[in-house]
Amino acid sequence: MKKIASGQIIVAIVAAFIGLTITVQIYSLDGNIVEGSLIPIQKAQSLAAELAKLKSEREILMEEYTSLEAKIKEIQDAEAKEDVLIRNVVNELDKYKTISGMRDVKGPGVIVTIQDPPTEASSEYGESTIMYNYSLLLMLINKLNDAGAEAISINGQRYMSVTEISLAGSNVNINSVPTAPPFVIRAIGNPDTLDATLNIRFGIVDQMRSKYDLQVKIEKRDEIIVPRYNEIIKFRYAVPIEQ
Amino acid sequence: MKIRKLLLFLLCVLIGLLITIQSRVITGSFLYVSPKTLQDYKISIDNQEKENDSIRTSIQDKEEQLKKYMESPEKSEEIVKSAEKELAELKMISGVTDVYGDGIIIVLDDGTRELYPGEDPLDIIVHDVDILKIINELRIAGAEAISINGQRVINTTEINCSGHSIRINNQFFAQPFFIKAIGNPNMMEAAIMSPGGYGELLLTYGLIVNVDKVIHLKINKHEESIEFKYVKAAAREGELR
Repeated sequence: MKKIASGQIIVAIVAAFIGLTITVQIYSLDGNIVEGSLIPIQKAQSLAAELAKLKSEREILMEEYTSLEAKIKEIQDAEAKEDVLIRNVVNELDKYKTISGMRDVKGPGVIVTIQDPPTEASSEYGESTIMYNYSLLLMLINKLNDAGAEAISINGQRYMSVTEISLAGSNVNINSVPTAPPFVIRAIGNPDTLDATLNIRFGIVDQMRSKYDLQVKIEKRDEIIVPRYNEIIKFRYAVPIEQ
Repeated sequence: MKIRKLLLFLLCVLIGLLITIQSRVITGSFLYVSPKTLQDYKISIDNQEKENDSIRTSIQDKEEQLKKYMESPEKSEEIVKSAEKELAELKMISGVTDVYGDGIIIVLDDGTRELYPGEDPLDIIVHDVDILKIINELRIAGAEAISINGQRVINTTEINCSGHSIRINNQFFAQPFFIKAIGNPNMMEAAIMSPGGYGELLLTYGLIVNVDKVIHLKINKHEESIEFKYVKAAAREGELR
């Protein structure tokens, strides 16, 4: 035991190294339960691809649905010309499609565009200011409704009686559809009233500009188009009370 | 000595092997993905599948409707019947039908605690933005019908803080606020009152927030007639998309 052979030292180092490598290897195999895992890129990609496939499938299905709707509408309209009873119901249908938001509409109004502060560095949250403070969108829509807006959409999503705005990861979900800044809000109503209500001193837009540094642009237009709600609402809890 | 050399050689081979595997892991054919991301993917895929299924059933409904239109001898009767059914659904969505179902009632009132020295009294008062946020949370949790002090919340409903009262659907109200919502009671309660929920935040400010789960809750329809002055139907349905 007076002299340690250099070979022994090498073996010791090598053994330690192997131990380390094996440990790392085991961690990366076993860790998925505890704290995430290394998974093959292919698997992650296949999940993403599956989701994308389902989404495009949804688009196709929805197209089929709207074309069926259009066909039915055609027949209804044709019959409505001859039958008063049908005409009345069809007129009512048209009215409530507009009110509920199940139909594309147009009219005079304003387009509000909201963008994040010009430089990334000025964002105090390290991410999008408007996304983090998405309740500003709620307040803006509320003000538009207060000014008598008749139809509103945000980034192409019609504002319905069930429309939610939620921060989900790196997106803002509206009607469960992920969107991101800039937010373009279209509102049909009296353009002057809408514009004035938003631009009032110390009002919502003033606050967005001064307090949050957001870039807000309001344009008055003679005609804008607000798209329909592009999903099917199924009530699972609420039951109508017959009168 | 021969055996030791052999051993060393074997060890070297093993190390080489392990390093190769390890570096393969690092250089890209594998990817670090947290279980949450995976879980999120699985949830989104599940939801999307369910949604697609529900669209498929709706398509079947429409196809049946169309078939009836084509084949039924009582064509006009059939049209009136199906149009009335569609109308009832649209009225539900518009909020001009009284509805009932399971849900929750939230009572929201100004705080009654003493103010801290120098504290702004506005801190313990219910604002319009508080109500907006609670309604948004309820919608995220899947609320199907909502009313505030009997006023149905629809897509054109405004909530406006004006002085000491709040204006909702052009009617004035003061505290306390009763927010009724029909939907999954557990999910909605959790959305409001769970740690980090907006109701819980208001509670810590000293406001009064109370949530009760209710069976067979009734929510009134939107009372005023809705007349649009500016909106016109754009293009025929299905034409724009």
